[in-house]
Amino acid sequence: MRRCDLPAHVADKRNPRTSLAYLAMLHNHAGGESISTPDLHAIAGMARLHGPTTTFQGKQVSISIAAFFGREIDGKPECAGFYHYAPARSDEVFQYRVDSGRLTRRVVARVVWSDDQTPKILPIRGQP
Amino acid sequence: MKVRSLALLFILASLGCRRHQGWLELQDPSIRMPSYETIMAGSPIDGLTLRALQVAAEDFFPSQGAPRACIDTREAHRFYAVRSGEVIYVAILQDPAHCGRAYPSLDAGARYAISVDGRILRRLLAGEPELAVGQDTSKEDGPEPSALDADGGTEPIDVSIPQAGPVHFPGLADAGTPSPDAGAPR
Repeated sequence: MRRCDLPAHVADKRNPRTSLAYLAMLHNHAGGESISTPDLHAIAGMARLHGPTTTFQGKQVSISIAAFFGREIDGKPECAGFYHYAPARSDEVFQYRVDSGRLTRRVVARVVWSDDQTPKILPIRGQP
Repeated sequence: MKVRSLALLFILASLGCRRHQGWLELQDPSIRMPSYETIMAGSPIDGLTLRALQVAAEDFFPSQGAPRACIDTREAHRFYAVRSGEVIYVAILQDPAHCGRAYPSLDAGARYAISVDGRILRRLLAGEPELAVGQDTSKEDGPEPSALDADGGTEPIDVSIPQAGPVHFPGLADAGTPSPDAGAPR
């Protein structure tokens, strides 16, 4: 059994507590898989705590979740990109990939939330 | 003689009824047992599915080892099962509310494929990659990726809220807890 627990709150004496907002859940998917159903439950839970949106530099922005994935080049691991979902902005799950120094983006899935707050992932290609 | 025969028949018939061992001890008189109909209003679980759930749970929560944190116990999880032919698929997901937590862990949970005779055919922990069986993974179908800019640099990931068209997300209608401007200069 394994799990990855992210703290819901940050205690930083340099900043007043009310000036800190929860913007993104960042974690790794070493195997390269997309945002999963447990990930969606986690971001929904965090949104219940902090609200799905916050004001950042005068703009309303969405809470979001990212899962980084890697690859091996000449025996050395490196970051290959990440999956990203910003639920208050869009129902799309994006895959960002770094290739030859360039960042590309594609939609790999859409997320539909039922009234009982259960997410359903609709892959756009195969199973993300 | 006839009465004695009937009594003997009653005794023999009673002996033929198998009782669960210890049934006399499991009798808390403060519990008023509801009717079968009342209990059957809940969701039924057939025996094969129950066994598949047990097999998956035994695998995911091994019985040996040190005492677990609340969030790592069976009671802090939800179990789902669906049968397709000779395979029963089981999903195990965290139920953080059981431990008084507001949100679940990332990469927690698992999916199992269990044969109807109780064997684990596949186990996929949350966060593990799918196996692309029989697929050519060198090419990806679906929409073509778009380069974010021409000079090879990056542009900020856009998380701003669109003006048009509400997105359905739990809690979005009331926009959650009002928050300060975390990015405002101080």
